[in-house]
Amino acid sequence: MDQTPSPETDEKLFAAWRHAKPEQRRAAADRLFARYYERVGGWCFRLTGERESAADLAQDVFLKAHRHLDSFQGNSQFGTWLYSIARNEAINRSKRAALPMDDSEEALLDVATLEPDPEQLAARNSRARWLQTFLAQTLDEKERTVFTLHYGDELPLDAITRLLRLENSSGAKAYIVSAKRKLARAAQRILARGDRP
Amino acid sequence: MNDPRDAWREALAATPDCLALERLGEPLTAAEREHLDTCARCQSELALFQSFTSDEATPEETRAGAWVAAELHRRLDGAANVTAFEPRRRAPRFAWAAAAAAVFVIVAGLWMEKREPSLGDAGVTNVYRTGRLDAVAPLGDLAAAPRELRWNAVAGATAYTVEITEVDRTLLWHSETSATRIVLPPNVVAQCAPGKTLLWDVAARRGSDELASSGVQRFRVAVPVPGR
Repeated sequence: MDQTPSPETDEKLFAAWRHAKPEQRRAAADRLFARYYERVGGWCFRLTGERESAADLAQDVFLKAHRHLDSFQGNSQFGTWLYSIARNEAINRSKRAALPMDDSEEALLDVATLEPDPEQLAARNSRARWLQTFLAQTLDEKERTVFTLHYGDELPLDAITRLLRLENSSGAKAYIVSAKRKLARAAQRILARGDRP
Repeated sequence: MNDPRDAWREALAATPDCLALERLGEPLTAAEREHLDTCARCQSELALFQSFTSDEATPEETRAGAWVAAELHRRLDGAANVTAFEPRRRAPRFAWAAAAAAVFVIVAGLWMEKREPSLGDAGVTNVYRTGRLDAVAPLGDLAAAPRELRWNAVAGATAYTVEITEVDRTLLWHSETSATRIVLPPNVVAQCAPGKTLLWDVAARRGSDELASSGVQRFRVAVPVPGR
C-alpha cells in the first residue's frame, strides 16, 4: 500500500478552507496562500525592483485575496484568480503614481485623436477597435505589448523591462521610442494622403 | 482631451471581445486565438500573465522572492482578521516621534503586563482587527441599475472607501466619502448592464486604520423579460 501522502493541490486546500470551522479558516487560507508567497513575491519584485516595496505590494495582494476568497468560484485555476488580484493591485498602484506627461508624448495626441474614415469606423464598430487595428498594422508585437502596458496600464518602463525580460541595453524605452516614431510617421501619412489603415 | 495618454488609455482598454483574465491560464478556443492575434490589449495581458507563471528567474529574483515570502509569513501568517498593516518603513522626519512613541508604548506595555494577562498573540505586531460593516444596497438581483451605494455607519469612522469590481476583480471604480451613501457616476451606472454581476465592498476607516469591512457584496441587474 502506498503510504505517500497525496500531494496538496490548490483545489484540495481551497475545499479544506471552504469546509473549515470558523476558527480554523484563517489557518486553512494561510496554507493555500503560502504556496504562492514566493511566486507573487518574485513577481512583485520584478515589478517594483525593490524588496521592501515588493513585500508591501505582495502583502496588499494577499490581504485582498483573504478578504475576497469567498468570491473565488473555481471558474479558473486558483493561481489565475490570485494573479488577477496581483495584476489589478499592481496596475492600480501604477495609475495612482503616474508621472506627468513627457513633452515627447505630445506627438501621440496626433495619433490618438486621428479621425478615421466613417466607413472604416462603422466596420470596426468603435474608435477603440480602429486604433487597435492601426496599432496592429503599424507596430510589431513586442512594440504593441510594451506600448499597451505603458500607455494602457501605466506601468513604468523599468518594470516592463524586468517583467518582459527585455535584454536590449535600454529595455522597454527602446520599444517605446521606436513605437512613437512609427506611429507619428503613420499618422503623418494618414493626414497627408487621407488614406486610412 | 489634452493628455494623449487619456485617449490611449481609452483605446487600449479591454473591449467586450477581449479575453477575461480567468481565461488566460486555459487552452484557448479558435475564436479566442483569432482575437488574440490582432488585439494589443490581450497580447499584453497574456505577456503579463506569462511573466507571473514563468519559472524563469535570475538569482537576484529568486533571492528576492524567498525574502518576500519570508516577510509575508512574518507579517501575515496566523494573524486573525488581518485587514491592514502599517508599512514597515517610516518617513525619516517621523523617526524621532516614532522612537519616542515606541518608548512610551514599551513602558506602558510593561506596566500593563503586570496588571492584566495578555488577550492574544503577543508575537504579532501592527495588526488591526476589523469589525463588521453592514452593506445596505445594492444587494442581489435588482430591477434597475443602482444609482448609489448605501451602508450602515460604523462608530468612530471618519471615512469610507468603496470600490466596485468585475467578478474577475478588475477595478471599475473606487471612491471615498465621509457619508454612509455615495452616488455612482453615470459611467459606472452605465456599466451595470442587465445580467452582469458586479462586486462591491466598503471599508470604514479612521486615518490609515481600517475599522470595519463589509466583505464582498454582489448585485446584478435583472435581464428584462420580453412581453412583461
